[in-house]
Amino acid sequence: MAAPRTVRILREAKAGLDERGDVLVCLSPAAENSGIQIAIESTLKSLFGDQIRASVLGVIEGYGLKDLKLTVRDQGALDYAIRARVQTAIERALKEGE
Amino acid sequence: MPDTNGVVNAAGRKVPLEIDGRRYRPYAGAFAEPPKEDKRRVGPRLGTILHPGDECMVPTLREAIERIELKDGMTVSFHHHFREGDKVLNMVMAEIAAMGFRNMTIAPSSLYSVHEPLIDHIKNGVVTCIEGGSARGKVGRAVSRGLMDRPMVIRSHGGRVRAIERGDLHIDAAFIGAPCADTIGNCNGVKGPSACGPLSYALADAIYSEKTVAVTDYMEETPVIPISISQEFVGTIVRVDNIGDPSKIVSNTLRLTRDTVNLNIAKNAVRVIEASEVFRNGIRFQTGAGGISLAVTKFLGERMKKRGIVGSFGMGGTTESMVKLLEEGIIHKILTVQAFDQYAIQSLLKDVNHIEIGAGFYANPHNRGTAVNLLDVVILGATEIDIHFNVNVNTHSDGILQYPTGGHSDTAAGAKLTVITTPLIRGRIPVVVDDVVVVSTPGESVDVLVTDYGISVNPRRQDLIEQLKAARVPLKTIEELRNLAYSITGRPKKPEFTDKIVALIEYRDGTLIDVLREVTPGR
Repeated sequence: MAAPRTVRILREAKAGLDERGDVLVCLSPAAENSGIQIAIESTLKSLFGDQIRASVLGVIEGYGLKDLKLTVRDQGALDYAIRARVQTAIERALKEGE
Repeated sequence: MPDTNGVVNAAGRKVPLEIDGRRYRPYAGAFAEPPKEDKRRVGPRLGTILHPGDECMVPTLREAIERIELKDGMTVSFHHHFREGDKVLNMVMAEIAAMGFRNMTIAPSSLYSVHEPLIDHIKNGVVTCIEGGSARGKVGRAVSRGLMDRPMVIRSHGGRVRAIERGDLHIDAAFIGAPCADTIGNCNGVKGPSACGPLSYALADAIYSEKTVAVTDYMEETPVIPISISQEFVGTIVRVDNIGDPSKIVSNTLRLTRDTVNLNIAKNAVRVIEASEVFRNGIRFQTGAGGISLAVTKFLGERMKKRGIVGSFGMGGTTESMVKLLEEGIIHKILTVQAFDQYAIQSLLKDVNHIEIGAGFYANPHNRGTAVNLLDVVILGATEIDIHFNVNVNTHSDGILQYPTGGHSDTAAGAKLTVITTPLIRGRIPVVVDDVVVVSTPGESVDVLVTDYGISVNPRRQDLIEQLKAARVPLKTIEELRNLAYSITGRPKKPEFTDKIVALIEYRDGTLIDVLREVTPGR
């Protein structure tokens, strides 16, 4: 498998809902070499905080993204929903123009 | 050599043998600890001689507290029939604080979110110990985070009465919120603007406390009828403006859930009951007011009607749906320890076959007749259930104290068929797990788990497995259900605790079944 390309996000984007059983993901660009900054709020942080971070990072790394800020507001979303919301936010952030 | 810090009990939990000046025996099995032969019921001191014309009424709460000669360090008790609408506990404790009392123990039959002012009374040293029920909302959170130096004692309804009768829980003054009272101390809960139904949880308090104060906001001609708590036990009566918020005491109507997940769980629970040997004429059952439980009551009634089965009695947690079964002749009688809606209260007033029972009658394992032992079926919930069928109803999965035991462990021990109904997962939280945070009800008294992903029978009940298989009820092992839950949610991190014990979970026989520790700060 080829190493993932390095991609930069260009704009802010959101995905998901701030509702029970869902997660709101907000993504914004960051300065070069500032790295991946993730802030997680979750009603289940003590139980699933580490897993949420790992899932979010997994999706980001799959896109080869390097510098960005991402906030997660989780209200007990299942793992696949969290991954899908992050993916959607990234796809939106990568789109040019509009 | 036994570890002086504790022993592993029959539920597999390590518990101390001595804590906070109390000596405990470890839980040894649901019926393993009968009361000591030479042990007697305790009783309050006798009163003085009563003269004709003696008055029990005092004009203010303060005068009531002065009259009973309350002192620092005493134990005061309350009942929880007003639920989130209760004004009595806060009112009395505010007065006790204002009068400068300190180091008090409170013994409520349960606590609700509305009792949040307790947190300040604890911080200010007015209250230093809580015995009984459990704590919901912010009080539960605060206790779990180590608010108190002394551990809270959590007891079931039956266990609380047992503790009172044995003297483990000595009550100096019972403050009884009485929706309807008279001038010599007779009370009931079925009349007046703050009607709550029965006064079941307060009965033992009234009989065994050194002093009993009825706090009322509605009076009728002496004697009030019906009499739930008798003048023999009530020495002081005070009338205040308002003892409860009616809209939060009982519901006008509890609606049947429209959640298809819960409806299906209820249907499957009824299928289990119908396939078991207890589904026959004379069946006795208890359901409650939760979404699934309400639906079970309705569906079970429908199946009984269809199959021509007539039940002996329903018990609970009484709701309109249970009363309807009585009115339709599907069951003969109702025994009520709590009324959840107006319809149930009205039925208590008018139907001779619907009676109020005290918490001791209901569930005390050490008296001469306890109603839970008559149950064929009980439908219960769980915040967690583990692969040994141990059930936690006291804490959330994160270890924070949230719910009382209520009659959970009492009815589970008594009923022939104990059914736990719960969704397999709640949000992202798995309900079926490897190990529960605390054991409220031991797995040995749980027979069946019904979830939206399948039904599992406790392997101790091979007879039941045969009955259900014969009726083609599909079964899974509890390990399969746990695996299914974890495959959907992921395996949550275990809550972390310090060494400090914040709550003692007493089994109904007075042994220690588990302890809850302080949640690690910052988590």
